[in-house]
Amino acid sequence: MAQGIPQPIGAPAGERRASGDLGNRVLRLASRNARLIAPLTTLIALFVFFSLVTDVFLSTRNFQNIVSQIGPVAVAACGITFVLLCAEIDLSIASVATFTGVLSAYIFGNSWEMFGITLNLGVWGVLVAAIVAAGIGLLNGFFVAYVGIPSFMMTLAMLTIAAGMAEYVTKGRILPAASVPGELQDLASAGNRFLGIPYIGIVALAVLIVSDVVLSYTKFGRYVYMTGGNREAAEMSGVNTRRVVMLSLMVAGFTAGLAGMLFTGRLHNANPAGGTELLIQTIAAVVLGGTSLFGGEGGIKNTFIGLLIFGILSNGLNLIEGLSIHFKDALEGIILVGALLLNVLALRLERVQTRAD
Amino acid sequence: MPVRNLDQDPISELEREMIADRITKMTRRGMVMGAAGIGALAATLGVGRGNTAASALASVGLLPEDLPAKNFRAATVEVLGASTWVSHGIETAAFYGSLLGIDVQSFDGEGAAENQLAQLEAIANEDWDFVAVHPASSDALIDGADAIIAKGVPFIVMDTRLIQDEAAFSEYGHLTYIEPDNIYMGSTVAVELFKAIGGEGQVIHTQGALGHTGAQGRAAGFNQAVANYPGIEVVDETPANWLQEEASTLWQDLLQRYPDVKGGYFHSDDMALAAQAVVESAGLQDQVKLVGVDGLKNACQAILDDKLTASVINPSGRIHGGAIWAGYLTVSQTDNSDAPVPKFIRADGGPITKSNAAGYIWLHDNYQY
Repeated sequence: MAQGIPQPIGAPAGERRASGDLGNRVLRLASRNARLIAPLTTLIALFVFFSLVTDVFLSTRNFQNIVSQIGPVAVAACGITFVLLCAEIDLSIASVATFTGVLSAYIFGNSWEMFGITLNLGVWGVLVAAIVAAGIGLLNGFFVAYVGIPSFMMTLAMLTIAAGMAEYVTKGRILPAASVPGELQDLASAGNRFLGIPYIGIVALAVLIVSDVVLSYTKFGRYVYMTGGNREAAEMSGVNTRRVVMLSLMVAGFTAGLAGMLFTGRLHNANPAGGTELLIQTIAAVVLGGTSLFGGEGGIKNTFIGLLIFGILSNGLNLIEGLSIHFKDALEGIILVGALLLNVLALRLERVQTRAD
Repeated sequence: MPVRNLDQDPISELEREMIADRITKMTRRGMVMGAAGIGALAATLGVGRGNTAASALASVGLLPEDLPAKNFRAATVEVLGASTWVSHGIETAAFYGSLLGIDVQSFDGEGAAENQLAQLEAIANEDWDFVAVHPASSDALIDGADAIIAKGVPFIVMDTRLIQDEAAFSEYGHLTYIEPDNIYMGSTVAVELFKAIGGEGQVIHTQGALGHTGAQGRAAGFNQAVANYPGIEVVDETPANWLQEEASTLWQDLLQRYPDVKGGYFHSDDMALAAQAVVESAGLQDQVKLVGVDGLKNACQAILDDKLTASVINPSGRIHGGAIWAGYLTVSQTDNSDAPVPKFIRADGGPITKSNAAGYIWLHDNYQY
């Protein structure tokens, strides 16, 4: 079931009225889980469609490709899910990802003289960059939650700062493969797999699972839903919503940083102009999966489905023979609109059912 | 947003040190060569901080001795600071500015014509000796350019036409327009690719943004070359919009769809290098040859490392350096030529292969192209 504000224990009133009619019960169950079933339907439809119209879609190699392509987006999407569930937004994730990626490469490729000691962090630069990314998220969160700057504006400003810092660190140049830690390249390269699954997919899956556990089974996760669902009510219940918002934005910064470093490893270089599409891809995947832009509804399971929709759609369109390159983007957009329409219809059905219950 | 200020920016200060160091090295080597080598010649004559190359050139009769005492102030409005090609151009402009005693300040349009227009309008309200712009798109910046030209400030256009209509642009009030030959670049490097794969087989053509005039020229050049190689089958022309991530994802998918592909032609080396990582991951580096356009240091090194087969010079440094020279010679009235600066200057460059890549890295590091 798609997650939302914690439900009262026990079955809803409507369910207690046993109808005895299996069809109605199935319909009611589906309506109540519409937020998850609608994107799942889209996913299945796309899967079947591309299986039929291309001859390589169903190959193992192609699935490995999809996994490695959506890996970095999946990691960033986890953080964005936290933020959207809080009814906030983080526009800075793409720039933070880019900055973190180039910072990790910059630290790896340089050493500093301090008090007569040569400081060379090497691969540990990855850890420093991750901490910096989390720090940026924390800064976002502090200014949003405690100073009162709207998240849209604060993260928009941070977008510019992080992009500028990436350019400052690299002077606009791409840092080559020799600057990128080999471990990062090995981790993100599509060719490196464990039991057939690209490492980058395993990393993404781990982040998805941890995020789901935090959101579904911890007090903090429950507070996130409460904060996004009804902030005043949450505060009256004793939830420190400011802290929740701040920490959610910190999580988003951290996961954006991880995603940026994975991109760096995947591309075997650190590009200060890279990662520009990450923001749109991430938010699109999360919303496509059924997580609400207005907070309190959705979750990592939805995000996972949204990521698969996004990945399969992008991959599948590249595999269709004879599809005009001038129409490909338009077709992708049309399919996305179709998927969103399905989501909206399903949500209406859910509301009707909720009222009936 | 200004991205460089040679006098105020601490990074630029560091760069000044770097340039001074480089000049010292050049002095030791006694380097004298080429058009841009004039700057190096000046260096051999003892250029230091606060002492311009122009005065050094004057001392050997290459420039008049009654050089203007003032230091000039020039602005360059760039299309996207966070790109390898532009950043090299910015550094080159700063380098020549440092040699000639010009305070060169670069502005970053961040890829948006509206940003550039605002920057040009702001520049028009200040005092600059000359201005150079690399437009994000044609026709969008005319108002800002008009305001600057109306003040009598020499206005130089780099890389992309300010006005789409060629005839109208040739009559416009700019000092000069310095442009690479995109068609030539496309056809030259495509021929290198086709030769490398034996003149036949499947080839993927990965384009930049389709609306970009540079991408259109590079596509036209590629198609010209394809017409002379009947054995070449172009199987895909999907644009990756100059983005490495898009090129990477696209090539993962296309290698699935076309497992027998033998070559890839890219409108930029950055996209080619992103695809190269994918090709290597798939273990196809011996089967698939890749070429790109721009020929900057990263591509030269990749050619030496057998990661790319070839590239072609898109002379960012010569375009930016040429803009600074043209502006300086005009405002200082020290142009050696009998004719005024022509309205159009072609900045071209040849193919880069393993046989000449090391030399181009050296030239690149010394802002010679």
